Amino acid sequence: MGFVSTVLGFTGFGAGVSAGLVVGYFIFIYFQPSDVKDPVIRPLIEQDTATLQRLLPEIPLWVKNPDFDRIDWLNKFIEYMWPYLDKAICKTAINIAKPIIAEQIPKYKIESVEFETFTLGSLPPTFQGMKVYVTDEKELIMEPSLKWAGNPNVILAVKAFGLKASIQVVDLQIFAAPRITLKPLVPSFPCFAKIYVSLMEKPHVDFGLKLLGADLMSIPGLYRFVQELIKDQVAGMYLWPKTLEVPIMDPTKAMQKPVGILHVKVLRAMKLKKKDLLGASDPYVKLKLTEDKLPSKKTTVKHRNLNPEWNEEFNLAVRDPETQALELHVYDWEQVGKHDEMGMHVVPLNDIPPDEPKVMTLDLLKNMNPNDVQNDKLRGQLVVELTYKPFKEEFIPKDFDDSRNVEKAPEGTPTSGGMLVVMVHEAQDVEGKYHTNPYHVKKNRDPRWEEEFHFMLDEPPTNDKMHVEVQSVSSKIGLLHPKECLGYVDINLSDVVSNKRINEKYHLIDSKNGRIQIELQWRTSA
Amino acid sequence: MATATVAYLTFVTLSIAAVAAAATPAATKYTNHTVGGDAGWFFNATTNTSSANYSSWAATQSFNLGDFLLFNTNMDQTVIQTYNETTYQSCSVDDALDSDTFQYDGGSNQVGATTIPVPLTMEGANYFFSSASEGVQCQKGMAFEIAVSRGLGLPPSLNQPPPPPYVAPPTPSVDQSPHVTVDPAGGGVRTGANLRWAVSALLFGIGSLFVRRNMGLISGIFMGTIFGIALMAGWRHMMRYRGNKRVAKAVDIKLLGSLSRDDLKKICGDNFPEWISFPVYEQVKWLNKQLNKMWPFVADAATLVIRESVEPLLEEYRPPGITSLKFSKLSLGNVAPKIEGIRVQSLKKGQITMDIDFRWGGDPSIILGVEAAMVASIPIQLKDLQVFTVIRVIFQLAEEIPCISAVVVALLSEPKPRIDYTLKAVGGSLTAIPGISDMIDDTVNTIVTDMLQWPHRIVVPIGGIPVDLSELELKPQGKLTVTVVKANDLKNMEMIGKSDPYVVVHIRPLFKVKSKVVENNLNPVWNQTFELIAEDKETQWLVLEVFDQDIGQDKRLGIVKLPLIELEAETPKEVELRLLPSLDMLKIKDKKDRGTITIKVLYHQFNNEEQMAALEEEKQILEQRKKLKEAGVIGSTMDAVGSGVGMVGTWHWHGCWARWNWYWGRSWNSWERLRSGRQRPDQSRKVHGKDHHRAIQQEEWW
Repeated sequence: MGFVSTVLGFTGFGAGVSAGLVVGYFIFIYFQPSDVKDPVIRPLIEQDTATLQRLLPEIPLWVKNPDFDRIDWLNKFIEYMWPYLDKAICKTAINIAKPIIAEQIPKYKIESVEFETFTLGSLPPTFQGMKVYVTDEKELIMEPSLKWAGNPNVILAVKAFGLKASIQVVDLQIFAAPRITLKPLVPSFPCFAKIYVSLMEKPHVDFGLKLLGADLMSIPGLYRFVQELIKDQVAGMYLWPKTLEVPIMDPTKAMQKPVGILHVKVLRAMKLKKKDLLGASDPYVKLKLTEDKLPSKKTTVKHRNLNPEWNEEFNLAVRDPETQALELHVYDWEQVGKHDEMGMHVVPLNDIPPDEPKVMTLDLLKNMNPNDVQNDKLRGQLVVELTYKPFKEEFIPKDFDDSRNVEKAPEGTPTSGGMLVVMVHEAQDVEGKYHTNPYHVKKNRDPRWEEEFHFMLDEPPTNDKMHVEVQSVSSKIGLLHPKECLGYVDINLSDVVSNKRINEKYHLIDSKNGRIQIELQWRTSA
Repeated sequence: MATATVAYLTFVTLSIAAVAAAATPAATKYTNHTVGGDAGWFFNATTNTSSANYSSWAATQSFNLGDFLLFNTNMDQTVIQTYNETTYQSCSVDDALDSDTFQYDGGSNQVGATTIPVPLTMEGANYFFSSASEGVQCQKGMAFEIAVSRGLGLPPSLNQPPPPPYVAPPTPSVDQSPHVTVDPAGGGVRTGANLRWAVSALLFGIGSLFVRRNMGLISGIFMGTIFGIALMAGWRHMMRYRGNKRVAKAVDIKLLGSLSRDDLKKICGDNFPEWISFPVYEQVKWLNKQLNKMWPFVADAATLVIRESVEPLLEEYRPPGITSLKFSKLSLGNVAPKIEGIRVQSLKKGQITMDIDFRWGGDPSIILGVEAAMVASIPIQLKDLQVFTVIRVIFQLAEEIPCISAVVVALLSEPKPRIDYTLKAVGGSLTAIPGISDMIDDTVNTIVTDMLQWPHRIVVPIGGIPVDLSELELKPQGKLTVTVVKANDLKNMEMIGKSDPYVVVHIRPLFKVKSKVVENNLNPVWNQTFELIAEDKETQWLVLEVFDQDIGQDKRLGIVKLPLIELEAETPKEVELRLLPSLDMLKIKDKKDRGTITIKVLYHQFNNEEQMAALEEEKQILEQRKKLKEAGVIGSTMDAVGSGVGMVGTWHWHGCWARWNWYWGRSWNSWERLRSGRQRPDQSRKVHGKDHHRAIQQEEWW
């Protein structure tokens, strides 16, 4: 008897709760509008003190800190762009999501999943300040303070078993302090090879998640829990020193480092045309890779020979086998006056199979225009043997970051010692009394050298000092001061040995305000 | 939140109570014994007597396990139950053990009557006393001893492993209470206890009502429904609260994204940070820092781009006297440009206008290789370059990623772009080629004004979004019909006889037209009509130049400009203009009279169709000119004036076209003749491609 009524009571309560929830749902929640209204924004100047008080914790960093810059122009830009950005992003997102959904649906016996509404709202993200750091490395570091408190409205309608359910995301808020590092800097647009993004602190995330119109995120415990969960997840992935790496371009290509060697053996030429009035021509060959700044290489001159045999070998450093080509010019040597060109040919490097010697017999041409009638004239032939040897993978630094980790010393370095590498980057504000022509860089107060010097040492230079002196030379002869010291600095080398790498700006002694940036590396074989 | 919780708790209480009520058997054989009967468990402190003789009361009762003793009492007395006779005899709990002595109280500090139920859980002797007043009450009769027999044994609710038979001090609405209500005969409930007690009593009242009628189900449903509704109401309240909070924050962030001076003043009050200022062009220190750092790399990269894009431009705008104009050295130097400020506006829907205040006092090393007719190439160095200008960049927005369909770049005409430099011949003197310095100045000026300076612009489509760029391009807006009537009192530049004047008229330097030459006359009458296209009436002007035809270089007799904005559309106007030595007021050294020129002008505003037609025609002209140039007939597109072909503008073009046809036809004919005559198959094969270049060359050869 008692047991039965207990069970009945429980059942009744359970049923009652369910019924009450349903009734309550229809009374209080079902008829809530699912659309998101644009908030009314009154100018700040009209706000009352209470609102201002509420604003205080959110004051942009550029107001508080002088080292942050205001970037309201960017905010304005984004604001104008936002309606378009909104549509574009939503369109793209839907297009990306659709095939994924279509693929996943059959597994779960769901009839359809589709976006009913997808908009990011009227409020754009804002940058509340920007800070940049200047280091001596080849990198740009910036820290924007990004705040997006938007009013997006995303409704996902799921249909299954004849029923329809909707999931709605509203009022998304993301506050983050990312650090964006552009490095390494390279001399071709967009001037950096990679973007690194990491978060300097845990991001603040807040949103409303409505299931059938009821906001799950307003359930007290759940809200905090989910928020923490998301924070921790994101922090686990991107919180500094963890970074997100976005490659923009291949740094080795951008840096134009050689990726292989082209062995060229100029064998002989045949049936060259006579150019000189007296006797036969005096031919020689000039070779050059396209897009190469190095001067051409030349063979010896074979006097009075229209079928010369050279058998000479040359090595050319190849930077990009896809686009570069070998240019061969045959000239007629003259004792006086201009050397006449007897013919030329261009061999694109992607015609040459790697690691395979290829003998080519080339018809000499006037120029590379295939339609030019002048090329119909016979100018003779040139025979060359070409071998392209790409560097093995391990020779190419896989990642540019390797420059950060000091390379190993080359073989043959004494085990106790090592190699001291001095890279002279640049100097600033060097000025001489009589002239300012720092070595190789003329008339310049801020010269850049970017030159590298190697010193092989038998033992670590723990007690040694390096003397660096900036000198200026005058090109004018007969001047009173042909050479002039613009300043010097002595650098203690023991620091380099212990740190392996030091990249610093040193103030020059005997100079008004000059500084020189020198990078030192201590490379050991171990 | 709080509301929901309270509601929740209330209903839980309700339900538990109801359930418990249902669980208890309706009739019991356990008994409640009200101590002292109606007299209760009281002690009169003034008379030092107990309200009843409890020992004699106890003797009248028989006690069984599971029975309750109900002490109707108040805070002045305590209820001590003990199994230890020593404790009982001492009338004190000071030395008592927790295991055999228990103190009961009302569980609350309420003053007033209360009922303390004490369960009997141990067989044998049980002692009760009041320890209040330091044992005085106990000694004066507030004590009794009972013997508990087994009876029915302990009920399940009290069945705890004995000893200790400890039961939590009875608070209202817990398990012990049922007897109280179940058996009203046992003494009933004292009303006016505490609130919670009352509430639970009420609930049990309802509960028992249903229980009695065996209606647990309905009560459950009823309560559950209310619970559910309340829960939902609470939830909605929370939703609204959280929603409003989020929206408020969003508004705050939005407001803080574009602060003005007044806003900041209002927020900061007296502590306004001094380092902040609000110029029209917002400062971008951070961008300059980055630019400085990046400059060596940008300079390297830009060198290539500039070489590729500017060299054809130089070629296009090259003045007639110079045969080749190329960079022989180009490096941008060590000094990075500076961006003084940036202003962003939206002047037109769907467009963002960004003005960049750009300043560059750089140390680039630019050496131009200049080849002039008859003079060998001389390198000319461009030194001390200074560029001060406001660059206007207009972004055309689109609804596809990357959201920008085109970028329009121009230099604002106001303030006028300042591009200063000094020219220096390397290893020679500029005087080697007379007028070269002016020629280069002119070229640079023409490039800047005719390509870059607003309203001229460079339109760059971005991201492969198909978009109609014609909106952005500078389009023909109207047609200016100019009749050059005559000139008066021209200056005589010839040694023998008088000048042979002709007029060159243009709006854009790219489209120049030239009148016939009137020989040996200082008051020439031309009466020639030209049509010129105007792109922007507001900023453009008509330029009239009078030259003296001469052997070698023609000399300029005077120049004058007429801003188009002064003209009224569709209204013919005749004006007499005073000729000036130069348009650049700074270069005018003498104030000699150079005569006047009389023209008739009529400005016609295009409608859409005419505009399209004019645009099409313009394109064709440029295309034809390119062909002519390839063919080597004219040296550069700017040569139009110098060479015989150069009549441009709609009216003259047909003549030119005819001439070209004739030219082409002649060469083709000559070629045909050649082919049939000589029968060289290898060459004829190639000419089928109708390569103009070859044809012309062939003609020369012929």
